[in-house]
Amino acid sequence: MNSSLSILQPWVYQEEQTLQELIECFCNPSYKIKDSEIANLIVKYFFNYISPGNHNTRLSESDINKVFNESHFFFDIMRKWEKELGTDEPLLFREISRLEYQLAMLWDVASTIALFKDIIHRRIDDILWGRKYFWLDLGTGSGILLLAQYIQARRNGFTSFVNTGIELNHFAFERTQEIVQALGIWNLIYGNSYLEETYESVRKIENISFLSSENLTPSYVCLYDGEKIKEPFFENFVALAEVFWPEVVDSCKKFPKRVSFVLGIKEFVVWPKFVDFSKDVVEHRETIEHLDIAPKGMSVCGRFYDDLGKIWENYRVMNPRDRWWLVTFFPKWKHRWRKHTKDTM
Amino acid sequence: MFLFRKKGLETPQAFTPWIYDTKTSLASTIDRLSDKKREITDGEIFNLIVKYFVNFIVGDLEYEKIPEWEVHKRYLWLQKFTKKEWWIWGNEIPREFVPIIPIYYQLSMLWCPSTLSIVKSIISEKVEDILWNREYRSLDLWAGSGILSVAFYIKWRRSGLIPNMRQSIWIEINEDVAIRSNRILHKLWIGRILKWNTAKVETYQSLKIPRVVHDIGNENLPNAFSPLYVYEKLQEPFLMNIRALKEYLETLEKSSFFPKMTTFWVQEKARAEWVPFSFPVLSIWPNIVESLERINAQEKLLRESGNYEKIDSFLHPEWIKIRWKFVSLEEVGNEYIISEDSPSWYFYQSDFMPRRWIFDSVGAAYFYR
Repeated sequence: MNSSLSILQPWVYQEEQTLQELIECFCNPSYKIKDSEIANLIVKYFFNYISPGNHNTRLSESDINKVFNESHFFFDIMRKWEKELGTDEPLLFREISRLEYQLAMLWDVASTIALFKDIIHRRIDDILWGRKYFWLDLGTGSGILLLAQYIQARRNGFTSFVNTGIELNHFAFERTQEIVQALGIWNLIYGNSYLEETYESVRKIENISFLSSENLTPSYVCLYDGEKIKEPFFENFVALAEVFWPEVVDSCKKFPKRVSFVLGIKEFVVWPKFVDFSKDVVEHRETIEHLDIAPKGMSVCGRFYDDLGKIWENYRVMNPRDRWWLVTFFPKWKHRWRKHTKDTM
Repeated sequence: MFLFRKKGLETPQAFTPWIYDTKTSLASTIDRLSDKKREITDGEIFNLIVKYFVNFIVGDLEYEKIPEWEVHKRYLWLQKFTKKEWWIWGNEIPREFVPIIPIYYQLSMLWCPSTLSIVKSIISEKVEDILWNREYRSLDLWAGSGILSVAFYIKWRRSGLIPNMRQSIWIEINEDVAIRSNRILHKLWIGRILKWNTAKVETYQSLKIPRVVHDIGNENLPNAFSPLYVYEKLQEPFLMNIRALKEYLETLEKSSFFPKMTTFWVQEKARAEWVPFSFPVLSIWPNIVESLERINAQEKLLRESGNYEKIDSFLHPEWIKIRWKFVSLEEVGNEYIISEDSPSWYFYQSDFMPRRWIFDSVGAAYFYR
């Protein structure tokens, strides 16, 4: 186990603030959030996700690095021997193999900083009078974007609102639920995000103030694998349009704001007509066997990236002596927005 | 704001230049129109619409004088966008199109000669009967840009009322549009928009909208000869709005609608099922309860036959009543387009100009709804 690697650059990490204190800081609209603080929050959230209940404890840098390194180590083993779940494996190993897909988001700290920053700084107008404001996150996973939504809502001055995430994976749901109850700031629904039944409890709200649905495969990786749906990006929108009014789904503020898809040699930018486009895709999926549609790029923080794999590039380290990069690079992990390959930088 | 204009380039023109008033802002145009001592001129209404148009795209220009070339430029971009030459643009959307895209459908209402005749017809009416001893109220359904509500506002002021912001209620479901028009109308001190769905009764109930309303703008009609409802996705909630209102309002018969009457051409497929009324044409006066009941009866018949769910998919709007005339939807506002017949009017015609109620070669309204 190589414990000398550190996830953040040493000058970035701040020991003084706990996770909860950081969140409270972020919720203040007059507080200017630095990128390094977002990196801090994500790293602390990661620690909290692996060992819940630590949102009010002060974590030293070595604590964080230890967890990152250990999980790195187990992930490496998992990939090498493709081990199956056994009862006598260490606890961390079991958790990582269960939550692998959800943790991929948190492991990929560099690109999560960009997404987090995008969501936090969106502006939401209050134009509903006497109605509920509703923040929705499809495919919550680790719940980091749900947290971003909460902060965004508070920064926009909303005091009472509904912040809901939907998660299908049982293990991830239970774990995220624990953190939910600890921080006490949002709801979780256990269910399939592209079935209408899941939305029963929120159907009456009839409004979406902010929608984040980043159910995307890495760029140029197809959304469908034969009959199997890898990521239900389009199915989600079809279901949402039936539960809520299609006009609401199309026009609400969302993350990602714009996505481009590759179909054969053509490229489509899907904005703002998400519902119509996804209806077409879902219809054609039934009739055509090989619909090779894959995401390619999306807009984050006002910039359109033609490749999802490029989103992280502002925050990773190329040369460790450059002081403006935040996150050091761990090559062996599964990454959210890049194809998982064995090559290193 | 407009300092950095490139000189030496002639912008193509969208309208006859002498009609545009460079000395008035949007707010002062409204003030002029609502002065009852002055007569209404087409030129001023034209100025109102055009300035509202630029405001709607750019924002925060309510009290500023807008130079003429700015309007022409906006028009040019809109026209370019309407051409939809995606193969020229490549993968990246030109920067100028970005603010246009989410509000494209609403812009087709703002930039067209048919709006001129609509606004004129509303303004030239007078409020009768000062309001059954009630506070004057107007309701605009799926308000879009909100130009109809501005017309109502001007109408009140022309008939001597001093409306406040509470008295006019506008509902729009599209958030992008609602935010923009809300900002304009709030600044002009006319009112605020509610972002909600007008096709449901629960909306009116839970928003506690007053049950007595005097002016109702329900101009949610698709292009001429295209149905209200297509392929299980709603195109225009014209009938649903009226049904919801019929349940909710106390004074449906007294209040005045825009349009006052709409005539639909009924598809033959549906006509075969209608035993008592097998007319090819069906007209709806939203004021008159009987005409609504007749439609409901027809729909009931259709449902009982087991074939169809919604009557909306068989109704194709054809004529509406504007002032005293019945006008085909395609011909509304034609008198303001320059042609060989009427060479002296305002709008230069263009094949690619997005127009309300006309299914042009591009099919703008259908695809961008």
